Amino acid sequence: MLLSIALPFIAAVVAPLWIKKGWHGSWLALFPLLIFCLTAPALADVLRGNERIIQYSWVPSIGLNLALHLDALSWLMLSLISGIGTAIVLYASKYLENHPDLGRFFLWLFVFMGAMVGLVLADNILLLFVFWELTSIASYMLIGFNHESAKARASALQGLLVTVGGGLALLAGMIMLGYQQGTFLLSEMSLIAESSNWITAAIVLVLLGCFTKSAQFPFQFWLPNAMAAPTPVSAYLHSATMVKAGVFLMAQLAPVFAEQIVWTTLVTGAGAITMLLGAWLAFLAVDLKKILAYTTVTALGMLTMLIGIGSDYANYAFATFLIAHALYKASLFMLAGIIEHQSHTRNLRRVRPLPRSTLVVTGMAAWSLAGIVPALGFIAKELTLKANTGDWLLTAMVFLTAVLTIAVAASLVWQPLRSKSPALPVHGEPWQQWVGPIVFSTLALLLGVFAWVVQPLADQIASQMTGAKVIELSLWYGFSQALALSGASIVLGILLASVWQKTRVLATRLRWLSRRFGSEKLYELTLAGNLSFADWQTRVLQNGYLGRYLVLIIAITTIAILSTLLVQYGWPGMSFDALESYEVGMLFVMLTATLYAIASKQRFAAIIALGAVGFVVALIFIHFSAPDLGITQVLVETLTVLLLVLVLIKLPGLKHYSTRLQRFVDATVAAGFGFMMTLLVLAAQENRWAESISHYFVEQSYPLGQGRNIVNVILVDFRALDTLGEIFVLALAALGVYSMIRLRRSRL
Amino acid sequence: MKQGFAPSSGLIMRTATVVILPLQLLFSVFLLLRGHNEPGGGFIGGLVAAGAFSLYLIVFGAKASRRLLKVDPKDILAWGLIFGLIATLPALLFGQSFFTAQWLSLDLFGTTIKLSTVLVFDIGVYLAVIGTITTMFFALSERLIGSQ
Repeated sequence: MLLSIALPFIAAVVAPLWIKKGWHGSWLALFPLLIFCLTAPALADVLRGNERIIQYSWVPSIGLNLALHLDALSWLMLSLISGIGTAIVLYASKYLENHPDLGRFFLWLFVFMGAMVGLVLADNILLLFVFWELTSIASYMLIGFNHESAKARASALQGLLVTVGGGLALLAGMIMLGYQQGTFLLSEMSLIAESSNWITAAIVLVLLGCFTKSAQFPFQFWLPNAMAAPTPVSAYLHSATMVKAGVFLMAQLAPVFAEQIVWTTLVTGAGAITMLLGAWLAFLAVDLKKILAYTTVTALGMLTMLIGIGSDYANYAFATFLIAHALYKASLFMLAGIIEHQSHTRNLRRVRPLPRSTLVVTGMAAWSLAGIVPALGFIAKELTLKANTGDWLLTAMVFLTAVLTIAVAASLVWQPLRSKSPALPVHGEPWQQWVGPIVFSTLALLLGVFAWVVQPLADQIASQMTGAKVIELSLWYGFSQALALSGASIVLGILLASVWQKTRVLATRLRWLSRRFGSEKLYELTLAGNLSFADWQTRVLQNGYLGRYLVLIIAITTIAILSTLLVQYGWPGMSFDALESYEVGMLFVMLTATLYAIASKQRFAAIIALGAVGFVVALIFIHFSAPDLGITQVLVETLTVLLLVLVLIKLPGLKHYSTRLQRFVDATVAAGFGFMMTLLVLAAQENRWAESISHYFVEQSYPLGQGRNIVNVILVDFRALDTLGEIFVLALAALGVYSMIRLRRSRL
Repeated sequence: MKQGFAPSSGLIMRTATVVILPLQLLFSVFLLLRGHNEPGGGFIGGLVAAGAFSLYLIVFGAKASRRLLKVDPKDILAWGLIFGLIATLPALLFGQSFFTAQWLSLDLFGTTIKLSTVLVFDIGVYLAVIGTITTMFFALSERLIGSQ
């Protein structure tokens, strides 16, 4: 299993070099093929219900282990990822054959594949989250592959923000779930019988993650926009695999949440709405890829709804539909690329007559999309209708969806047939592009007839979810309400398809509605609001005046610490008993120098006075037997004075630039800070809640650190990591000063 | 332009700086090496060395100081960071956690010399401090006074 995860990442490294060498990309398809071959033999084991579990320790301190498991559902997903992946890599190697960035494309495609394999195999939900986010990032890079197009970039960003935003909610939900269950392993989780606010919150958060990923209402808008990606990407990520991640996770968690009303309501409701909305939008769309994207939204909604219903019929419908959809949708997307190539347009209204071969394969895939006998999709639809029996609202929604989907599927074939524009000369597409569509659409059709092939897998998936009863998959369940509805939907759908061309006027009229009130508008508003807020707070808080920054930082620190101190602790006491006369002397010098620095009208005098303060501080350090600190203080003070002198030499004499009010504010803030520090030091003196750690350092300095200078041992051994960080900060500061000065210079 | 900090032409300053500079540098190395047991260490040593270069800079100007230093101050900074990072690695070879100090005692000419990653790290700090301060000083003086 570990090899299956590693292989795509190896491929991701190999691919760019391979392409650079000028070798053909088709060979890269061997990687996913190999994963497929590795996965296949595990089927026998999986069908017997044996989960394979592997654990490697990774970050045990936060319960993050490399725990992998392989059950029926993840086996299915894994074979889809690798099987469709093989076809996609073949397809892309021709589709983007002469693209200058083909190497980069394969790099991200394989990174995505690896993340997806990891996601479906992960047993630990935190590990799953890591892969989850990785798929979002890979998807971002792939949607924005044509990075010179502003639209592609915006769509990529939208997809990323929506899915990663949901991902954050998911992480929170996962952690809550993990604590409730006492384990982070999916395979060890059990049904939650009781309900509480904690569980409700966890469910809502997890669902936010799943809904955003699987483009469920109200987050469905990013998926059609993601069609800015190259066609192979749309076929792979945004139909067959990545968007299924949310559905996959919901299916994995269904046994845990099945008895929670929040879960069933939300999942069923959002799924059903998404399903109908997607079908409706698919019917309105004219761009071939948009149509497919919306039918994908429909399919995802249907899968989600089925998870929410959770009955035996629903579970079987889920398993069969998952297989059917992945097969026909991947092939439809690949066909869309071919049609675009042959017809020079993706607009279904202007599509030209297509060669017979393309039409036949499209017809086969569209047949499955419509879900008509003998396609596997038909069984799925039949089971879905049965699952909803008794609930007239859901039944009506499924029925309407079916009608619209059939209309869409029919127009996919009908439009090119009816087209009156002249056909373009046919240049044959290479076999690499045909393998996928032909194999998958044939499978989608035939698996309906040979449903017994899918039966054991569906049994296992259903029982793994919430299933109890075995249902035989068959094309014929006898006369029933479901069959009648199925038949009616076909008739209505074909009728609707015949007026498809006429409905376009209506479609364009309705579009403003979604643009005005759709959830995409909400996304845009949120984004714009965020930006203008950032803009406002930058203008107010970070206006570029150093003085403003200092005043703000110091004032806020003072208020925060002082209020906490006074509320939590009250006024600290004060005593002058232990004060020696020479200590008073030192304080006196310091005070005088400070006052002089404030009152002085000359910069140099002020700086030197400040230097004097620093030297007295050094004296205090030495007095309290901290020679290292004393030496450092002296040196730093010397260098600071030098540095300031170097800078200030260029400035004109002191004048009063600031108004009276500003100076008053500055003085107040400064005095307040001093007051706060005094109180803080006094309070710290009076109170020690914990044992001081200096004893430990004194005792262990020589035995552990082999040094007698405790300060130095702390700096370079006990706390060496801090010091390492500090020297990097120093370096950054130096480079900052350097570049600031140098850049100014070039502008002069 | 106000004359300000053009290289000082004072004879006493010039002569004294030339004599003091090697002593300061030697002292800074001494502070660096003894730092683990007595007051001193990479940070303090670095400050002393940086102070020495700053003095030279003020007296002889940036151009002469660059000649003296031979390398770019930013390179010193980079080497400091590299030494600091190198010190973190040996522990990994022995399967200990990142940054665990490694010690090696050598008996050489009758005395025991202790070598350690801690020393390597301290040298890194030393160089980083020198690099930081000289980078800033050089940039400032070249910009504000012009590189004489």
